[in-house]
Amino acid sequence: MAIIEVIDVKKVYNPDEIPVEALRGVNLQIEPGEFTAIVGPSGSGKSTLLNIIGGLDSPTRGKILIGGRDISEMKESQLIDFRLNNIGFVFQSYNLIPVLTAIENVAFIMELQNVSKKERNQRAMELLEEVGIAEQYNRRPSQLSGGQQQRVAVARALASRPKFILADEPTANLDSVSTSNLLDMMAEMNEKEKATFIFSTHDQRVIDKAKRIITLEDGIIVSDVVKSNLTHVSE
Amino acid sequence: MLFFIAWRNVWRQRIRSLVIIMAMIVGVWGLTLAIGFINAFTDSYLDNIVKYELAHMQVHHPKFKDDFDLKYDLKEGDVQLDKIKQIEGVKGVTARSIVSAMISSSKTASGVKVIGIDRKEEPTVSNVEDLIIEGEYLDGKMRNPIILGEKLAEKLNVKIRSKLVLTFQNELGDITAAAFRVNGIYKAQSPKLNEGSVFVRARDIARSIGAENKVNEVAILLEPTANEDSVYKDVSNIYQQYLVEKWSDIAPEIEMLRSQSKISTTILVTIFMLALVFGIVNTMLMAVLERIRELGMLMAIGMNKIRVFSMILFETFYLGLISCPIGLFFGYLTLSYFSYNGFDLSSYAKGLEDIGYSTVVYPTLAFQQYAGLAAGIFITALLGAMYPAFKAIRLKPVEALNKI
Ligand SMILES: Nc1ncnc2c1ncn2[C@@H]1O[C@H](COP(=O)(O)OP(=O)(O)O)[C@@H](O)[C@H]1O
Ligand SMILES: [Mg+2]
Repeated sequence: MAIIEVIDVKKVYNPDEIPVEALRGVNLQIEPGEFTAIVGPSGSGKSTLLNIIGGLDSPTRGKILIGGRDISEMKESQLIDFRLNNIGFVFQSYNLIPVLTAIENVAFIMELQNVSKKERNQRAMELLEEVGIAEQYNRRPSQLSGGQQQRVAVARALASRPKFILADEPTANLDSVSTSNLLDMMAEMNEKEKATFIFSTHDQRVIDKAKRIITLEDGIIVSDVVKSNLTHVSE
Repeated sequence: MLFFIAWRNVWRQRIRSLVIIMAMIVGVWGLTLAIGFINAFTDSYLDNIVKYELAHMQVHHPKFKDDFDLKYDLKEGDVQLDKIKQIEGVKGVTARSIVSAMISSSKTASGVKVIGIDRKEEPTVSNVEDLIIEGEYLDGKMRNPIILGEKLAEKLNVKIRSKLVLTFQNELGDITAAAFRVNGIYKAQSPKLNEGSVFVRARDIARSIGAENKVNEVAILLEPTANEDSVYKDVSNIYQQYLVEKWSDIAPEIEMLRSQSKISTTILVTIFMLALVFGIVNTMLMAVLERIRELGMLMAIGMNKIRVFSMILFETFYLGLISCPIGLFFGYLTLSYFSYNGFDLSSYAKGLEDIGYSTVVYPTLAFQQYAGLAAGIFITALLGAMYPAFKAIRLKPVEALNKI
C-alpha cells in the first residue's frame, strides 16, 4: 500500500487578491522505500507540494492520505504531533537548533517523542556515525560546514523513525562535492535503513541520483519516471 | 532538555540578556531600599509616638477627651496598677495627672498640656528622660521642677533654672498659679511634645492646686512580643467603667501614616512592575522575532505549542532567577548596613524633625516583603513574557521558515 496518496490536490495562494494557482490538480502515490526527486523549474510548485504532503500547508482542494489517514482534515495541534511521529524534514537551511550540539540536535527530536535518555543518546550517536560526522558530534551548528549541517539534519530526520523524509532543495546551499556526498549518503540510508526519501531539486547532478523522477511544471505533473526500468508511470 | 535549551538561549544575545538582568538587579535593589526606607520612616514615627507620647494603651475617664481636667479622674481604688503589671505582656504601667495650664515666662505666655508624672513609675513607660539635651529630668533638690521642649523653651526664652509660672484652674473654677523652675530641656521629634507639653511631678500639681493627688490617665507599655489584643481585653476587664484605648485609636495620624506608607509602597512597586513588564516584553519580543525561522523549524519538525510557549517562559524565568536573588541580596546587604548603623538624613532634610520624624532612620524589610517582592517579580516577568510567547506559537511554520 502507498504511504502517501495525493488525490487531485489544488492549491491557490491569495484566493481573494491576486490568486496564484500553485498546484492545479496533482495526483501521486509514493510507496515505502522510494528515493524520489521532485523536479521542475523555479515556481513550478515543488515546495508547495512538499509542504502540503508534509502537513505544513493545507490544499485548497483535494486530499492527502498518509498511511491511509487524511491529514487535510487534521487540526493544527494534531498535525504537529502527526509530523513529529510520521514525517522527517530536511530544509534548505536553518535546520538545526543553534544552541545545541550535533548530537543534542539529533537527540532532541527523540526527546519530543519521549524516548528514554539512554536510548536517544545511543541512537543519536549511531545515526551520526551512519551519516558520517560522528567525530563532530559535539560541535554546534555554527562550527559545522553547510554539508555537515545537512547531514545532521538527515540524521535528525531519521532519528524519529518517520514513515518518510521530505527534503525541499536540501543541496541548494551546498557546493558540488558536498551535494554529491550528501546525496550518496541519503541513497545509502535509503538502502540500509529502508528510509523513504522525497526531495525536490533543480540540480541535474541530484536528479541523476534519484530512482524516480517526478517533473512538475506550472503546478501539474508533466512526467513521472521510475529509473530502474526506465518506464513511464504516468504522463 | 527544554530547560537546557532555554538556558542557552538566554545567553545567545549575551549583551541584551545582561542589560535586562542588570536593569532588573538595579531595579530590585532600588525597590528594596525604597520600601525599606518607607518602612523606616513609618516605624520611626510610630516608635517615637509610642516611646515618648502615647505608650501602647491609655485608660481615661470617658469624658477626659473633651477636657483635660482632674475632675475626670480615675478613682483611687480603681487605679490598680499592680493588677495591670500582672498581665502577661505588660512591660510597664504608670499613672499621670494631666491638666491644661497657661505657662508664662518674663517674655511671653502660652497654653500647654501639663503632664504630671510619678517619678518612679514613669520611666517604665516613657523614655522622655532620654531626650534631655540640657539639665536633667525631674530630679534634684529644686522645688517644683519642670522640663519642657527646646521649641517651647526658645519661645518662652527660658534656660535651665529660669522661673516659669503655671496658671491652673482648680476644681472650683478658681485660678491658682505656682512657680516652677526649668530643670531640664528635651528635644523631641513630635511637635506636640516639643512645643505643646511640659512635664512636672504629679504631686507638685496637687500641691499647687491645693488638692489631693488625683490621676486621670493610666499609660501602659507592652513587651515587643506582647499580643496587643489579649492585653487590651485584660485591661478592659479591669477598667470596665473607663475608656481603654490602643495607641492606634488615640492618634488618628497613625492610621493616616500607615495608609500613606502603604500607598507610597504600592505606587513604587507598581512603577517598578510596569517597567519590568515593558522590559521583559521588549527583550523577549526581540528574542522571538530574531529567531522566527528557527521557531518555524521547531514547530515544523513537531515541537508542539505548549513546548514552544514554555521555552519562551523558561527563558524569562531564568532572567528573573538570575537577577531577582542578586537584587534582593544587594538590597538586603545595604539595608542590613543601614539598619545596623542607621542612615543619617539630617544633612539632607532639615525639616523632617519638625514634623515628627527622626533624622536617623533604620531601614528594614520584613521577610514577607522580600518574599512578596520575589513572587511579584516572577509573576510580572512571566506575564510580560506571555505576549512574546503567544506571538511565537501563532507563527505558521511555512511562513516562518520562509521569512527573510
Ligand atoms: N505564500 C505564497 N503566497 C503566494 N504565492 C506563493 C506562495 N508560495 C509560493 N507561491 C507561488 O506559488 C508558485 C509555486 O511556488 P513554489 O511551490 O515555491 O515553487 P518551487 O518550489 O517549485 O519554486 C509560485 O508562483 C510562487 O510564486
Ligand atoms: Mg521551492
